[in-house]
Amino acid sequence: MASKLGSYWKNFVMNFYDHKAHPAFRYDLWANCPIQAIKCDPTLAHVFLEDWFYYTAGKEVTVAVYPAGAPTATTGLTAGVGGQFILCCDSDDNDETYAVSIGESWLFAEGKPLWFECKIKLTEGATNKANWIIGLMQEAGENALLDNGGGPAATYDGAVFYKVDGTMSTMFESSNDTTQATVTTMGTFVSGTAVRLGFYYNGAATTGVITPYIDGVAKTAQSITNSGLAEMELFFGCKAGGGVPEEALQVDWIKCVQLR
Amino acid sequence: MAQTRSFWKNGVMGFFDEDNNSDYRTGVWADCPLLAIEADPSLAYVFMEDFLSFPAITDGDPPTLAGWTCAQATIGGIAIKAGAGGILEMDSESATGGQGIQMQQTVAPFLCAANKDIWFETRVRVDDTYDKIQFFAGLAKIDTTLSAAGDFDTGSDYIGFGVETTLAGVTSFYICKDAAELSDSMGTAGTLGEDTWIRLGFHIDGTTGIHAFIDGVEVALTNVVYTGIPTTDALSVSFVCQSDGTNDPLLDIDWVRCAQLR
Repeated sequence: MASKLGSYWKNFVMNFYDHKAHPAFRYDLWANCPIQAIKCDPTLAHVFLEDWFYYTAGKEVTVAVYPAGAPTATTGLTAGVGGQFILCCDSDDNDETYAVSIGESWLFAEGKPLWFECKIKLTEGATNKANWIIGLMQEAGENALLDNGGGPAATYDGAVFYKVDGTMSTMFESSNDTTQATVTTMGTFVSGTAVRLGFYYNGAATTGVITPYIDGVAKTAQSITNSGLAEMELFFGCKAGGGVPEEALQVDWIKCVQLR
Repeated sequence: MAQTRSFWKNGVMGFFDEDNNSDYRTGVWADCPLLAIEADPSLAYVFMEDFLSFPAITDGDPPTLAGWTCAQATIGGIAIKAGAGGILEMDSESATGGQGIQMQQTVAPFLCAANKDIWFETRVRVDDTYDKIQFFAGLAKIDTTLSAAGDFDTGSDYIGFGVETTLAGVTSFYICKDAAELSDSMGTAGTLGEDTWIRLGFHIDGTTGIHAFIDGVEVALTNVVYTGIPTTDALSVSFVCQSDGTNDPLLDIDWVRCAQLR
């Protein structure tokens, strides 16, 4: 028997988990997300879960290439257990590609906790050359990642994991307009190895708290001022670091839940 | 912030969140066996649209998109708009009574039958203005003129909430079977507000019972009785947004869910 059902309470929220397959659920990002109640009650939360068994251009996400002109590889579903999506960008320095959800449907706000997690993998064409980004961002699109390894845009609302060329670190940033909290050494990025990246926004009054997770392990939390924030899109992207083969960001799944 | 609770109704257990929606216990989903459905696909089918991942809409007359059929009464449009939770906006684009747009699932996957309960709920709001709209939200037979001139087409079967012409924002609950329409006004509970969300839900208890809910509270029905439940036509999730004159109202849809036992 490969499974053993368990239940667990955290912060007055009960969930079921598999004590054999994933005992760490109890300390992980989703332990206090009221998924059982959400299943029964559609008034409670909105849920985006994409496992990439299907992909219709413009439905799950809209893909945009900058500058226009397709990379050689094809963005879309790719072979892989569990459903896989691959996002490709051209190899010219600073060429980039983004996949963006259809609407600005997420907003950090008081009393509206939010859970985000994804599993991604990127095999670098040459060491230290890839740029990638994933998370929530207002008006995500061209230059969400700045040129020449500049990291996320200087002005935006959101929270993102990212990597820039010239390093092999997984970085995290939250932003309210031009005010950012940035951690440039949250984890070591390993080319060709899948990693789970997530964050929990707690919906506190005035100043929310965002706790990042890498592979289910909580990292140092950041504060974000709720006032002035705008609705965000869910998105991911990759950007060429120059003179290397095309980059391709592979996304296994993404889940984002927010209380209504 | 969140507190899981369990609740039993009519032999069905569900989980709900005491902090964020304690009226689950009085609402439409309290006796829908969603936990069993999650574990057992043979039990029921569930349609849920939250407008977070939605087919691309091609603007046109009418707009086109996969899985849905839009029809205009002269004019009207639909679009995904910014807003937490994903929102679809239906725009009547007209201040002339009876003009606007409707959308229906292209397939009609629901059919009322004995012991095949249906639970339906949607969250909508009206803008510009609440008392100048003709709207429908519910299940209906595929029909490109579901609300001609603001009068629901009794040539088609339907179950749902709506405002017909001159009713000035007071929602009624309607069922129609073989050209025989029954309706009950939802009164104060169902009176629309400007730019104000309202939840509209119903439970069809096979062919032996029917219940309407506004914002998670059951509203007693007088004229609508179970003998009027339509069992002939297959039904699709359907929305209509038309002007009732003077203004060009918008109907925003936050989400819609419909579940039926197999």
